[in-house]
Amino acid sequence: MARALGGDARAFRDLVGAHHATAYAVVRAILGARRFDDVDDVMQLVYLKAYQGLASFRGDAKFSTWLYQIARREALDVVSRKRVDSTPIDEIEIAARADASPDAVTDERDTREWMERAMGELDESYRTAIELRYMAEKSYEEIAELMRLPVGTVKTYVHRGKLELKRILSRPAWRERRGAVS
Amino acid sequence: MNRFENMNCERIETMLPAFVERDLAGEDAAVVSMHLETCASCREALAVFVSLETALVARRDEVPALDGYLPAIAVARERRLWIRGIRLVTSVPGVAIVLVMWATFLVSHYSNRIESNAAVKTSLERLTAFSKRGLDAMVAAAGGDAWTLTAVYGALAIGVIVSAGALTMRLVRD
Repeated sequence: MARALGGDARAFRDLVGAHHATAYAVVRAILGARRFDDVDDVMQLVYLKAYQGLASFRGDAKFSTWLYQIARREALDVVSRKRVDSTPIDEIEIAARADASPDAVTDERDTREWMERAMGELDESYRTAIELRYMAEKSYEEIAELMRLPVGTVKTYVHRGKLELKRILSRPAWRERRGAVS
Repeated sequence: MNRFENMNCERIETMLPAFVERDLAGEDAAVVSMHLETCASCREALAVFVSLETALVARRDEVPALDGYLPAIAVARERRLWIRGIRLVTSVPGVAIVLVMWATFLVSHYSNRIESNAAVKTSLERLTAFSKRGLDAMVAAAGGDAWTLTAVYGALAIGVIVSAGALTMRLVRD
């Protein structure tokens, strides 16, 4: 920490490296599928803000919580500044798929795409809890600390999110398209 | 399927995500297991949740490497070094100007009182000889009033230092 505070870029990298997946997961959760193109820009901004604001970090909170708050703030800032895209998510999917060669789309990539779009339909709080749980591999206790919620509430978010994902992926339109691709 | 069985399946389905995670208490897990043995539709739902779990676990592979996001840090670091250099360059002469001006003024003002000390006198004479010429020129420019000169130039120097510091801090934070 002291070396990172002194401007040592390598020390800063080591410091944030342990929490990179957490920051990425929360940015992805907040931006969702519609703003996926902004994720990289926001992540750069998150680390830039963390680097510049490191001197203001007080030891009374965990570094992971501090970085989580920066990531959340920067992602929400982008969401609030940019015009809300009202295009239905299925139309985005169709437009994207029209340009793609069927042979080029692998099953794995296809599964990821469908999951991404289904995740995009969840409430932000459910999405954040699920991304932290799976993308960042956090325990329920760690997620509760980051989100400042009781552990039971976080579990409810994750479980309800999964029930919602199942419901979304069970829609006839989604099932037909998934079937047509696979 | 009667209404009770339908409600029971709905209740069971809400427990399946925790069941798949093995996060259900023993008694609840036993109830779910028993129900699954006799209910084909809940077994189907369970298969969906298991697939979902696999797909979600695979999302951890989507996290890109950290290094791709750090070039902006390198740029910021370089900028910070430049700013530090500028701050040093601007602040050192500023402080030096203030100190020299005050020293010159004090030597000129109190030289009569310390003339009895030969060693000090010799040192001060050298300093005075150097600085007094400049001071005399500045005093002349200020209309012959040393106090006015010191106050004006001192305030000016302090203002320059404070402004440079404030500007630098703003650049660093931006």
